[in-house]
Amino acid sequence: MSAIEDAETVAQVSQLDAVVVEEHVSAWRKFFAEIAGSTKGLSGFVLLVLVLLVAILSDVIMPQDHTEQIIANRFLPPVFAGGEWAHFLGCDNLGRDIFSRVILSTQTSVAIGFLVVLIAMTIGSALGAISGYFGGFADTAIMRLADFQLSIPFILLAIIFMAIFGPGFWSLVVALSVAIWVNYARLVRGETLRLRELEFVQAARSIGVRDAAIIVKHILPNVFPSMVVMATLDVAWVIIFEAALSFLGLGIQPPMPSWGVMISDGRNYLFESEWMTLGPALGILITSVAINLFGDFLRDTYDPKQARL
Amino acid sequence: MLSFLIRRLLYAAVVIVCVIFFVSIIIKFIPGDPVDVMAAGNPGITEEDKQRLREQLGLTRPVHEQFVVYIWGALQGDLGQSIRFRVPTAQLVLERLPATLELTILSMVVAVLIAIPLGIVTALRQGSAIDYGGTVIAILGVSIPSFLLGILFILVFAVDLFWLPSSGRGEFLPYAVWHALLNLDFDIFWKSFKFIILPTVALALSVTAWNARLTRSAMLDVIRQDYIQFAKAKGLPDRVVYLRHAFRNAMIPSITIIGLQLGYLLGGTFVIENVFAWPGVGRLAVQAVFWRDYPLIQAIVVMIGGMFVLINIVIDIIYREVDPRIRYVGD
Amino acid sequence: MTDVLLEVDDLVTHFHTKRGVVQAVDHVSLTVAPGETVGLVGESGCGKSAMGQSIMRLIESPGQIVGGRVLFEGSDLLGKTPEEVRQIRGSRITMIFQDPTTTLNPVFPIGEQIAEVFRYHTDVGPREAKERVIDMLAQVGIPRPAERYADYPHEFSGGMQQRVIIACALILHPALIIADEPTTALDVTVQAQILSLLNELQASVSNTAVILISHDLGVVAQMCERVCVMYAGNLIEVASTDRILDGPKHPYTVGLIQSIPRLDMDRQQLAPIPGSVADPIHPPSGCKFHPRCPHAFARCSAERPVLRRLPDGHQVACHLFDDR
Repeated sequence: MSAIEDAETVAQVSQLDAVVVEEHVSAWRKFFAEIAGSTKGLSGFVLLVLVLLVAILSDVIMPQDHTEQIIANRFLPPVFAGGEWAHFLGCDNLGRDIFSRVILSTQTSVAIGFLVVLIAMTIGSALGAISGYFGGFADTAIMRLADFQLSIPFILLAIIFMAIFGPGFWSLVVALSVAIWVNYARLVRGETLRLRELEFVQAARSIGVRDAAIIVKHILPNVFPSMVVMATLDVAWVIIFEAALSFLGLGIQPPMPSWGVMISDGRNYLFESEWMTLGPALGILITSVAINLFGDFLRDTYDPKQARL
Repeated sequence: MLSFLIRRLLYAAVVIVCVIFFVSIIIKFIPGDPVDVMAAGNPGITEEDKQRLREQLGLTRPVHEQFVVYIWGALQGDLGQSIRFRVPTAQLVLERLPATLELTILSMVVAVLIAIPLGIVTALRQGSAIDYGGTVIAILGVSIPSFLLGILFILVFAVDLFWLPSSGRGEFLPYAVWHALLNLDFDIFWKSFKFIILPTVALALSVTAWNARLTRSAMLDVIRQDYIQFAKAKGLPDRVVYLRHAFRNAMIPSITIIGLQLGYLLGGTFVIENVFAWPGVGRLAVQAVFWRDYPLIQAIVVMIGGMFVLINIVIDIIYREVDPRIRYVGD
Repeated sequence: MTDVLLEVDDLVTHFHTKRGVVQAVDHVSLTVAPGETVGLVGESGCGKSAMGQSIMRLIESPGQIVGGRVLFEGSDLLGKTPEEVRQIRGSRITMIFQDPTTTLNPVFPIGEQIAEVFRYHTDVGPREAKERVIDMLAQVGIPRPAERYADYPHEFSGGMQQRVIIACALILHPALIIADEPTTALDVTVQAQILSLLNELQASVSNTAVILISHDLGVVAQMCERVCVMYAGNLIEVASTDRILDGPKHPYTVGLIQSIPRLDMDRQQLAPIPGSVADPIHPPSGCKFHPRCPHAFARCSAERPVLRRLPDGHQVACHLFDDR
């Protein structure tokens, strides 16, 4: 032990001698206190709340009807470049209000993000638990499947998937879920294996309690922090990847608005209207930064072992 | 070492076979009659063509037979014929492979060259302004998708400033360098290089950020270790302690994930090729999906996937050389 | 002059932590003669490791050497430039660490790790350096040293690794070795081997002085001529090993020796020192040991005792022995 660790341990032990009875602080209050104490956490949290509010309330806060095409308004510049307040960020090549479309896309992207992660988490956890609990053939099969999937770049799987099932919302969701289930499976499998060997499981088994029940009851609290961190960062990844696939035309199909689709349109009209591209770009940026900041904060605080950023 | 190599090659072969299996049977899952779908995307197909196509795709054969036929063909270099172009798919992929490779590899190299010094410096100057700057770059790097960055670059450098082209490609970069050196003419180099700058930087940013953070956290971990104290106690100069003793250990986690990063980068390249109209495999792949040119899609997946698996073997070998502890553990 | 190799004069080292300033080394003075083996004993956290690191100027943020002098071979190490200190470290003063399994760099062969010191401290070329290393490896008892030169640390047992580290510490014939708990992480049987190896080589290689830092009085008793006892950053007793073991003076030392279980004791005789170690950030007033001392009186809580030399050479920092 280094000199400083020695000294600090001693200081801590000494302070335990002067025991003060701590009041019970609720977990929520502690959580918010942590957030408040971290620049990263606070800024990420604030932005995240903003994004979520926009996503949930988008139908309500949209200034215009996002499908309405007003020919006269084609390529209308934003209000700060000579346009009108009614169309804050101007209009696109079909005269549709950019700002409203960006807002609605928030809903689409966030929804996909949560949906995909939820599916991946559920299926991944289930497979991981089965793998860890039953071992043997199930374990080998599932793990080999995971390895195989990771041996080739995801983009190739996505391409084949889209080619077979055709691009669209559900193809997208399935393809993206398939991309990320593995980490959840591994996490839960690891924890299941560990729990299986613990004495209290064997002890409980000896008095007749079904160990499956015990394990399930104990897995969740143990993996919860890691899973939340993983899930948060995965949502960001899904949103970006969805944008990329939609940009290529392999994801969300028009007229459903998505940042990727908007950017794809915007790419063709970079000369005429920058904001067709910049609007959705800002949307992606703010959301992504928010999630990454907050996810990073979560990981630093609750699960430092995961080294991703 | 030899037994390791053989085992990994066998494993790779198994994976590639699985990929081929997967790819050859997945045709069966297409809802409806795939040939009709394809025909819809490709005008000028006759009934004879369609029947020939059905045979070629193996729709008339049972799964296992189709698989065998495909593998047999693959071993001879025949991965089917593109519906759209009516030439062997392998040829189409090989024509475009250099473009994709040069972009992917250049991006990786740039990323590593910038990330490693950045990671080391931010670790050694933890808490300083540079470290803070590094964190900001890291968050941005991870948050901005490369295709978006590419488009923003086009907006700024091509549309607004007219400095760089927004699409197209010059000569294969190594050739360009060679010719420029032969003739001592920088212009020859620039003519090709100017096309690759924007896509490369766009691609490289997120990998740079990722690597810089990884190097940083690995360095922070390593400099707290006892063996670094020992190196200092031996009276070694600081640069030897940090750049040799510390970094040599800190780079191990980075090497571990290079394979992962290359896969990620490849995905990015595929998208970036579409942003910059870069004539590589990625652009071809997206078009193939739209045309429902299944033989071409199959070939792309098999060839790129196979290449990727082989690259991972090379990475594994490097990893074993770099970390002596795992050499005898086996795999 | 020539019979003092190292003179530490009023050394003060602090660590700045979130909870406050840890006074790890609190005005400590001691001397070491050439070739002498001195033990530095105390519980975890008493500052002995910090002491060793301070002497070699290996203290880094959040630690800081705040005051005092470290006179080595006549000149003050604390007054030298970092480059000058670097030259001395690893060649004139070397260190042996506690856990050999984490001390050697896992990615370099052991031979190289020793040969390195030649490169940065001497003009000796690589081939000759390698020969000398192999020679030294043989001397520390590594079998087939020429073959094992290129082996990696994980291919050796803990005891063998420590021998490698000892080889590294001795190879440039230093004047002083600071051994920080060199046997704590090893099996008991291996401990004895390592200590006797160190003992033997210390004399035969270059008449090296050794500061042996340990919490284990048994280890110290085997090797040391003199013992310095530390408590909470202070040096509280210094005497020859025999005198310390047979006739300890400071109540803490007495308690320390009494709390070691021995085979010939009755069960009831096991007597731990009551209370817990002084808080290094907010130590008790006066003598830091007074809250736990069975002989404490009024003066003990008011005034910190200074290390004084008694007529028989024994040094102790306790008001019981201070008749002023």
